[in-house]
Order: sequence, then structure tokens, then C-alpha cells
Amino acid sequence: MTDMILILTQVLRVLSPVFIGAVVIWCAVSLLREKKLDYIYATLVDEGSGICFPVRYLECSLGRSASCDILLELPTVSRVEAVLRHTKEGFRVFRLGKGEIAIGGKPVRASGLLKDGDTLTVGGLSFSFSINDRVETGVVAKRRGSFLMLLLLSVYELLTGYVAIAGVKEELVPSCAMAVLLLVLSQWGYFLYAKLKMHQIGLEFEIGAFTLCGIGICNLITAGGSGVITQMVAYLIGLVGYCVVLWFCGDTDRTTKYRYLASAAALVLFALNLALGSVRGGSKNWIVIGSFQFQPSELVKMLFIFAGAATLERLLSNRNLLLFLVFSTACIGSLFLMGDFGTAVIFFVTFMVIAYMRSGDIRAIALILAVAVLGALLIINFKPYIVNRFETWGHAFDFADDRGYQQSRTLVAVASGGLIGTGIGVGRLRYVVASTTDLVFGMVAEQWGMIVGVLILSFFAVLCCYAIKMRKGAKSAFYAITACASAALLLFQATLNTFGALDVLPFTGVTLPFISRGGSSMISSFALLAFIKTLSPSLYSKRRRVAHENDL
Amino acid sequence: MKTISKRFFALLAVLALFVGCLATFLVKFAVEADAWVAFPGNGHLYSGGVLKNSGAIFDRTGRVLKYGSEDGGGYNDSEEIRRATLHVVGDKTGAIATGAQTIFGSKLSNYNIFTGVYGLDGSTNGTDATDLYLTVDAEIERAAYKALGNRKGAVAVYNYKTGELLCLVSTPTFDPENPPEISDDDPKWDGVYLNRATNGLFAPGSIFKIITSAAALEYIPDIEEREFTCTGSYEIGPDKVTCPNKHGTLDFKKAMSVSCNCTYAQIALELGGDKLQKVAERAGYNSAISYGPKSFATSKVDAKSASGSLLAWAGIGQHTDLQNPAHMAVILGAIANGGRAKNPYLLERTERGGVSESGKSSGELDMFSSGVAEKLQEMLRYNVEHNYGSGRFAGLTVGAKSGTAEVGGDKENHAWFAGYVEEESCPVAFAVVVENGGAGSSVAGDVAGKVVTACKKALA
Ligand SMILES: [Zn+2]
Repeated sequence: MTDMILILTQVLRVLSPVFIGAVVIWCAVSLLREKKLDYIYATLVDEGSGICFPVRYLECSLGRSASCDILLELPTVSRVEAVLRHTKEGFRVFRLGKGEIAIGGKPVRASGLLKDGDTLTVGGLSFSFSINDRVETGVVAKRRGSFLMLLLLSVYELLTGYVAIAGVKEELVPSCAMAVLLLVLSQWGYFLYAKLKMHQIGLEFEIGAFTLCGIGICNLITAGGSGVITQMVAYLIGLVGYCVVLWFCGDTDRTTKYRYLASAAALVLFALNLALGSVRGGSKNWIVIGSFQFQPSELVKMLFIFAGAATLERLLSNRNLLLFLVFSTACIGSLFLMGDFGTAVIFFVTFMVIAYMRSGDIRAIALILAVAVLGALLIINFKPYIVNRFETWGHAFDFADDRGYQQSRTLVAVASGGLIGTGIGVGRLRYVVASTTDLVFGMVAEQWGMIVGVLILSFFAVLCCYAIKMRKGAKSAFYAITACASAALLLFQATLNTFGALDVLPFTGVTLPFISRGGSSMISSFALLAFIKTLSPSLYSKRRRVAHENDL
Repeated sequence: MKTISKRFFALLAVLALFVGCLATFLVKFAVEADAWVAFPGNGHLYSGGVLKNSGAIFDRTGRVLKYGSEDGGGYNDSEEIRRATLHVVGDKTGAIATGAQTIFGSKLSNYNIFTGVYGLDGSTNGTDATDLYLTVDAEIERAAYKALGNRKGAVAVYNYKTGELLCLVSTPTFDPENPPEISDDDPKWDGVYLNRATNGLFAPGSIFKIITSAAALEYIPDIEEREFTCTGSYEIGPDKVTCPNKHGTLDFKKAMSVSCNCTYAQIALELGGDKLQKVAERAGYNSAISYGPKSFATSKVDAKSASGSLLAWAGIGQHTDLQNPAHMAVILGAIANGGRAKNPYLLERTERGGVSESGKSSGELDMFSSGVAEKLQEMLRYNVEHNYGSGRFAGLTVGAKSGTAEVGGDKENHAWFAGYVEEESCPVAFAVVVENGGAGSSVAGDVAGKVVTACKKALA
């Protein structure tokens, strides 16, 4: 090592917490300051009394139940009479109750298009419908800093990459250097695409994820540098996938149409996995085709959430969870058969989030939880060896040379790093099995320090807070569900990965989103991030505004 | 949309789980990180189990026991001292997990939680290493090692006025500069990596009568006026406790000095398991007694659940009783100090760049009431005067108790000898155990005599 590298390593030890702290705080402040859209899309005016009912959401329920968005307190109206939903053609009325609904005098059977100026008859009352065609305002909040942050990030990634590459074998230097350059270039490529083509306003999600990916790639280089190109390719696919998912979710009719296909695809992937899968690290969760290999369970994560979500009229007309329950049981059951308990628990938590959001039925959820616990106890009863896997939990150092090996070495590594780390490339956890996947938090906290470790985890917590805060302003129930489920999944998975390796939770061997080595995991993490971004009020409206202006 | 926006509690639950785990971990991290880094498998600090680039380890008088360097460093010049202090310092492979170089590893390597194992200049320790000054005395260690010779055993010496652990010797031992080939199943090297003084556990045999006596003094008001009769054998149901010969009629003091099993069996039965257990647990049985970052192996008494002959056996130190030698020395120290033992400690101070930091531990362990301690002193002195003879203790006033613990099978008994010196300039308590050594008073007492003589010289 030259003096230059040596000095840079020490400087980065102090600089990293400052820079990563700045990124995460910027993301948190910028995202959590975002306000939900306060906009009246249309109005319904009671022709008899002249009372005006504002349509504040793109999906609204009408009825006499207190939870309805448009409250019609009349005995002639059902609890939930109808849903008004914005589609590509415009607003559409979906009939859910038994009462008569008519548009312009013509009765509606299942659904009908409601145009500006139409008269809507519900429960014997007539409303005149008018669309507010003013441009959405209040959307363009002051959100600056994306450019500066990305610039700083590029510099940081180049510096850390330079230091990390100094430690790899000579023949791997070109591929690692290429990976770092590609990383920086792809981030600027996305920036230009998002700003110029998609007219996006805030890029906090992306820059947060880029920062994590940057640390992940750099960490992988410090582990020796093999597999960096594969990881880079997965990252690029993930980034493209992110854009595709954002585009795909822009039309909720389209998402509705493909839900069943997604469920079928999920089940087929699991079936293939069970039939053709190969065993790695005790779990049969890999499919290998020639030199190409992937983990179906990672890809199923996004299909699972996608299939579980639905638009409001579907949620309200079909409260029955049975089909989703059967689908979820099939997925979680497959994971058990593969022996991938960590991922099974992640799916279960995601299932609970979706099931509760869909049904709102706390008793049903409690019942499902009870059945699951009972099932787990039964499994433990019949297969007591499963318990042995958790024997070391909380006692890593008592089993330091057998089953507590990985956890105890992780604790030693993070303690050695202290708050500012040992320096990039100076880590020693890399010699332990699964250091770049299951134990990756330990590796990062060892080299970057505990402050950076906690900041990385905070990013997932910020995503979760964002979903909690913005769910109210969601343009569709579909977005609210996908975003909340994805945020919960990412945070829960990060928790399970980190604290499993640190011996606070049982060690299950799941990946840390965006940072662990693993292509399938990278791709699914980006897709889940896109799901959360669908909550952003500015995301689809700006484009609609552009379309609106073009119409004029 | 109102309907669904209310349903987010599952997210709060995940968020709460995350915050809970993070808080739990950060507290553990703040408290335990310096213990985690001292793990011998930590490649940042250790090379082949030995601290790299560490400070030196000195005895209480400043004799170097071990010095550090990038390749692991070296030991004292005297082979005898190297062998005697092997277990207290640690070997070159880190196989001795309780050596000072390991248990004080985070201090030796100057660890702090902010910058981790490396300072801001990127090196461990920088230019100034942290040196350790231990409480042990190399000369007392040497005397103890020589007295034990080729026998397996342990010697623990403790200053009952300060709490310093003056000597912790364990045999078999070897020269860390020239380690021998040791195969796992060779009986000659059985437990060679264990510091028997701090981490060994042995059947206590008759030295446990000190605890039974303390219980009797506490709970049987007229114990000192009682007369006992020994016929050489005392029957309890189908079982019986025996003495080597008929002791005839004897009082309490005499019963202790001749170590009459029949009498102590009767006393144990009269006391009952609960009281015996209570007195033993106050004296530190069944609890961890720490001497810095580590604790002695926990001595065990299980009288509470015992009755009949099992209780009688427990009262004379057989049954399931287990005794740690260093703990025994602390018990004797407590007796000499009026019932309260100073917390034992091994690290006197650390020094780095002329700045020294005390490693002393303050505090006391309340083991006996002062009345009981005073009576026990009297009985222990009587033992020496009337039974063991005071000649071997360099003219010092000594109170002691020997023990010959049956170990079962056709093996020789473990020989025990534990006591204290009543002398302002030499306030030491000691415990000696010789594995399969035979009779306690002669074999272990002889070792104790040499150790006490060395103490007198070293502390003068
Ligand atoms: Zn007798």
C-alpha cells in the first residue's frame, strides 16, 4: 500500500460517517417534509339542496358508512354504495351496493364512465358532476439538492472505490475499476432520464439506494473483487426494472389486469424451484441453468405484493381474503419446503400487512396469527431439529467454534470497527463464510464503522415512515398497499439480516437489501423501492400535467 | 381511501421491532464491545492467538512477565518464572483462554469504542503501548511452582487486606518459549490449558468443614459446650460415615482439629440442608466471584435438596460439593479479615505514556458475621498449634485446615490445605490443592509452608 492510499483510508474513516449521514438526513428530511396532495379533482353537487361534495382522492367511496370518503347519510343509501375511481378514460363509477345508480338517467349495472357535466343518481338523489380542470398545484414543493448530492456521491464512490481496488489482486483490478465507473455513470444516466424525460422532482429514493449500492459494491471489492461484474449487471437490471415498474404502475387498470398473471407466475416459479432447485447453505432456494443462477423467492417477493394489492372498488366489493390466503399459504409453504425459514417469515410479515390493509378485520388477522403460531409449534413438535438451529441464539460466544461461529465473528468485527470503522479494505470478517451476504452488515460496520451501519439501517426506517405518512394521499388503494407492504418487507428483512448476524434475533441467513451480494436480491429490492415511490404525489401528476398541456 | 389509510398498524409493529432490536444491540455494543474485541479469534489484534504489537505485562514489583512486539513478543528470562506464570499470563497460541494477555486484551491493545482497534493514524496502539501491572508476585509464583513440582495442582494466594491476588499457579505447566508437543489424550498433560487456581473445581473434602463449622456457630447456640462421641463410624439408615480411627469423646474445637467425620455428619444433620446452604451461599458458593473482567469457576454446594446420608456427606465436603481454589483462599481471607473479603483483583494498574490508571476493585464481599469469623480464627489457629505444627510456617502465626478429598475409584485422594497468616506485614490467605496427592496436611501442607515462607520474604 502506498502512503497515498494509507492516508486516504484514514481520511475516509472520518469522512464516511459525515457524508453518509448527510445523505440519509437529506433523504429523511426531504421525504418526510413532502406533503400529501391537497387537491379537489372534481365535485358532486346535490341538485336538490345545492350541497357540494368534493372528490379529494382519485379513488373515492360513496355511502352512508362513516368510513366513506363521500358521506351520504340517507336511509336509501347502502353502507358502501359505489366507488368513484379515476382511470385512463376519466372517472368511472363502480356499483357496489344494491341500490340503483344512474348516469344521465341511464342505469349503471357494474360500472359506467362519468363525464364532466353528467348527472349521477344515487339513492334517489341527483348530483351534477364537474371535473376540476385546473392544473394540480401545490405538488411542486421546494425539493432541491438532488444534483449536489449525486455529485458528492460520485466523488465519494470514486474515492472509496480507489481505496478498495488497491487491495485486490492485479488481474481483478480492471473489472473492479470498470464496475465503479459503471456505477457512477449509470447513476448520472438515471438522473438525466428522470429529470429530462420523466420530469421527476425529488430523487431521494434513488440517491439513497445508490448510496447503499455504492457501499455494497465497494464492500464486495474489499472482499476480494470476484463477482463484482455480476453484481454490477444485476444492479443495472435492477435500475432498469425500477423504471419499468414505475411506468407499469402508472395505470391501475393495467396492474389490475396482470394481477392474476403475477400470482400464477409466482406459483410457477416456486413449483420450478421445488422441482429443479439446488441446495445452498442448507436451503433449496436456487435455480441453476448453466452459468446463470437465481433465487426465485427473491423475484416472487415483488410478484407477491403486486398480486396482493388491489384498487379500492375491488377491496370493498370483495372483502373475502380466502383466495389471497390460499395463494399466500402456497408461497410460504413452498419456502418451508425449501428450508428457507428466514424468507418464509418475511413473506408472512408481508402477508399480514397486506391482509390487514385489505380486510381491516383485526379478528381475522388475530386468528391467522394464532393458526400460524400453532402451525409453527406443530412443526417444532414433529421436527425438533429445527429448534437446534436456534440453539445458539443469544449465546454466540458459547458456540464460538461451531454454530455460533458466524455470529461471534460478526460481533468481534463490529466491535473492532468501533464507531468509525477499521478503514475500507482493512476488514477481517471477509474470511468468514457468507461475509458478503448474510453477514454483510458486520463487514460494512467493521470497515465503515457503526455510525455508517446505523445510518444505512435508518434509510430503511425512513422508507417505512414515508409509507406511513404518505399512505393517506395515495392516488390509489393499490399504491397504498404495495408501498406499505414493500416498506414493511424491506425494513423487516434488513432487521432480520442485521440483528440475526449480531445475535439479537435468531440467525436465519437473509440478505440486506441493496448491499448484500446477490443479483436476484438486488433486482427485487429495486422493484420494491419503486412500489414505495408510487406514493409520491409528484410522481404521476407531473406527467399528467404535461399530457394535459399537450391536449390544449 | 379513508378506510384503508387507517390500517397501518402492521407497519408500526415492524418499525417498533426495528427500533427495539437496534436499541438492544446498541446497549450491548456499548457495554460489551471491549470484551468482544478481546476474543482470541480477532485477527485485528491477535496473530495465532497472541496479541500483536501489545504492551508488556509486569508483576507487582515490575518484573517483566511478557513483552509485546509485532510477532507476539517474549517472556521473562527465567525458565522457572515462565513456567510458574504461564497460566496467569497466557501462552503463545492463545490456548490458555484466561491468561491476562487475553482477558485484558482490549486494554493491552488500547481499544476504544470510538476509533475501534486502530487509532486515527491507522495503527494499533500508535507509538505508546499500554502496559499491564498485575498483582501477582513472580517470586511467590516461582516458590509455589517449585513446591508443586511434577504433581498436578494449584496454589492461590490472596492479600486479605487489599484484595490483591498474589499468586495463581497451576500445574502441569510448560515453558511458553519452548512449548512441548501435547497430544489431547495424554494424561500427563490433562487440563494443561486450564488455570486450576482460578478455573479448576475439585471435591473439597474436609476443608469444607470450615463452612459447616460456620453454620454451626451461627445456628447452634451451645455448639462450643457440646460433647460428641466418635466410635469410628456413624450410621445413617443403610449408609454410614466413617473416621480413620475412633476419636472417642471430643468437643467442637477438637472435632475440627482432628477432622472427625462422625461429629460433622451429626452437626450437618442437626443443622439441616437449608441452613448449611444459606451459610455456604453467603460465603460465595453457587455464585460467580469476579476478579476483574472474569470470574472464578463457581464453587458448588447442593445441600438444600439433600437429606439423610447425602446431607451428612455434603457437610463433610463430599456429596456434590465442588471447590475452586482461589475462592477457598478468599474464604480464608474473609475469616482473617473479620468476615468480610476485599474483592479479589488481578490487575493492579495500566500505564500508557506515563499515565497510569488503577485497576483496583473496591468493595467487599460479606461472607461471615464478625463473631463467627473470630471463632473460626481461633479454631483454625488451634488446628495449626495442635495438629499441623507451626514449624513449617517460618515462625508466623497461621490458622489453617487441611482436607483429604475422596475422588472415587482407586485414585489417590486430593490433598487440600487452606489457611491464612496472622501478621500485619504479611496478610495473606492461601489455598493449595494437589491432585491425587494423598493426605492433605502432609502433602499440601508442605507446599503451603514453602509458599508462606516465600510470601514473608516477598512482602517484607
Ligand atoms: Zn471421628
